[in-house]
Amino acid sequence: MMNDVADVVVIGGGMQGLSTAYFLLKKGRNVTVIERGDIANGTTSRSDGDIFVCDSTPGYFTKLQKAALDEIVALTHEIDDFDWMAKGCVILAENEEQVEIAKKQYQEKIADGIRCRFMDKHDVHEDEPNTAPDIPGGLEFPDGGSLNPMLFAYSLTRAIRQMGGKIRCFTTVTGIDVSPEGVLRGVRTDDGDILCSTAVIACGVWSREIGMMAGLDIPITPMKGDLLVLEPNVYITRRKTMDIGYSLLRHKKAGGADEKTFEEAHGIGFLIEPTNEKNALIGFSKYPADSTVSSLGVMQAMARRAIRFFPIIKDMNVIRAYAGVRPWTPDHEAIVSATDVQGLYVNAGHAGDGIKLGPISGKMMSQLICGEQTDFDLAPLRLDRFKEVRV
Amino acid sequence: MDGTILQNGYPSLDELRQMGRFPSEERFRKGPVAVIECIQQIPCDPCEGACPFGAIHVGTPITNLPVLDENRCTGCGACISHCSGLAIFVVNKAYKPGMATVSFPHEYLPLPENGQIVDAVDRAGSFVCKAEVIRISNAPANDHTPVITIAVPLEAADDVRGMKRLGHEDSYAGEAERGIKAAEGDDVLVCRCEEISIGDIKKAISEGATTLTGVKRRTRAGMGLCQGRTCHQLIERMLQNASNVPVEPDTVRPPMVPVSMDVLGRSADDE
Repeated sequence: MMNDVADVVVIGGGMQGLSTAYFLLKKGRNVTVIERGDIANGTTSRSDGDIFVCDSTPGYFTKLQKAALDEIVALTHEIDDFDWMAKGCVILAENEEQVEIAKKQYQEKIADGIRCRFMDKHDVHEDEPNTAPDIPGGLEFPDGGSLNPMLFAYSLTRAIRQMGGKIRCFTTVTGIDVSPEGVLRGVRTDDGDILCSTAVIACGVWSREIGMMAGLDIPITPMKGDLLVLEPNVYITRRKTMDIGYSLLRHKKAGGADEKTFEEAHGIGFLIEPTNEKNALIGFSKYPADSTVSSLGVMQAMARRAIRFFPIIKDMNVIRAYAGVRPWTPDHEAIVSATDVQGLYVNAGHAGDGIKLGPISGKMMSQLICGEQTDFDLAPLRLDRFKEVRV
Repeated sequence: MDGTILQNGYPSLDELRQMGRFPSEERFRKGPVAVIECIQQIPCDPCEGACPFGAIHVGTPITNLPVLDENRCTGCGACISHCSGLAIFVVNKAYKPGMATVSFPHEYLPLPENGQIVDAVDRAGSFVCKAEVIRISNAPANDHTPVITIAVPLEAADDVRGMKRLGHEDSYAGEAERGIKAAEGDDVLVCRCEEISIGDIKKAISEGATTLTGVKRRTRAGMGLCQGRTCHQLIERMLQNASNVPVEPDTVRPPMVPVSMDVLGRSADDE
């Protein structure tokens, strides 16, 4: 047992926790990260590492994502390499109806200052000749790229340790000590207590159970996503390409009563991401479930969907499948917020954008804790926005 | 019987005799003849096609043990290098009075020279007697499996099935030690698919990896085409050596073998 003292305890050693610790350390705070398993044991290690501003809600959230992308590019100069590939991405429309949606999204993105190009049928096939011949159009986003989330987490870990931050892996939080006046006093773990006046819940999908230890209701639920990994040295596309359905799905929760087909109920869509290791990831799915075991039915549906957009993919081999759970909130936007417990904060619920939003959220969380002006107004990310909805 | 192929990894003489793998003594006395020491029913038949005289028969199913027609066999030795299990030999018990020859596949460099005295070994690799090399065949038809013929005393003809590797004259223990030392060099590849070395894995362990998954995520070992079937046990041993806590088994992920997107995409209903 090891009793300890820290300025700030960060609960969770994933993307949000590590980013928060990194930015707090840069401001000179003494930080201890508590992680139940190994570094990046949860959703971080199961993410695809896409950093694009293409499927965001117009306005505030698009601008936030743009700033998030800039923050990641800045980190490429500050910490060890994490396979950052700046390549841009393409979104494909499947039919004329979706082409109209793409045109609307194009207008919205331009209005928010995001670089974007509308592509007609000819443009799409000129850009990626392997695309199915009937795909009528799409959008190109020249900015953004992808990274390896594991390397990103390990690079942050090294930087945190170099700055004197402590990371205690395989340590489980067993309680949060709150005074009768509602002020944080410390964090209890299975390896000793840590006295602290500030703590951050950055546990993604598992934030709800940690919040309950302090009497908080953090409405985060697991939203499963599956991925397939193709054999190495295959060429299908030169950059990340996805079905416009992802941005449509973003705004609704799969599993509703009106969803009749298996595909609808499991939020099946198409995504391909060529990786630095020369293989490719194939997605996607989106449905409420808390298992990280791949579902065969979903794997099959994703394979069919991928063949629909890129017929040449049918002869390529799948070598692995994996699944993760996105921390989902009722309005599918993150929580970066203070709470009713003085000194206790939440940085979680980033849905499918946790890697992308990690650094900007961690930076803003450090600004919030240090009483500084935050880069963005945090009102849309407050935890108490869910209270009214629930009454 | 003093052990079987399943217990020891090599067949015993009793086992071979019981399974009828030896030509008759009468045939042995007539001159060179093939001895097919194949006693496991595996799907394999190159020996059948290798014999220019049609003396070896496998037939259907392909898992049949090869049967030698000892009267058709001339002892030419064409079958030796074609056996992928290195289980075929040619023995000539009529070489010289009191002397026999044994021909065997020898896939080790350097090759001996004609007339060189070498250590003849039995099926277990143990020393039997000194022997003279009388022929080395490394023709293109052998496809890089040289066939060595050595002369041995007649009474050793049923036991001798090879020769000790050259360039490794030291004790077996010394050889094993050198092997382990070589295997501990940090440049040795553990995961061949992703080309991850022992040094990479040591570094991952020193950075806090305590599980196979931890090593995999830090290094990509086990994430290639074979999905860790070659390297996981080696990494598990390295992890185990670095810790007192039993290493957790790795997460098993589908598919079991690479499967094409086309096949995967077909639902069970289509079959």
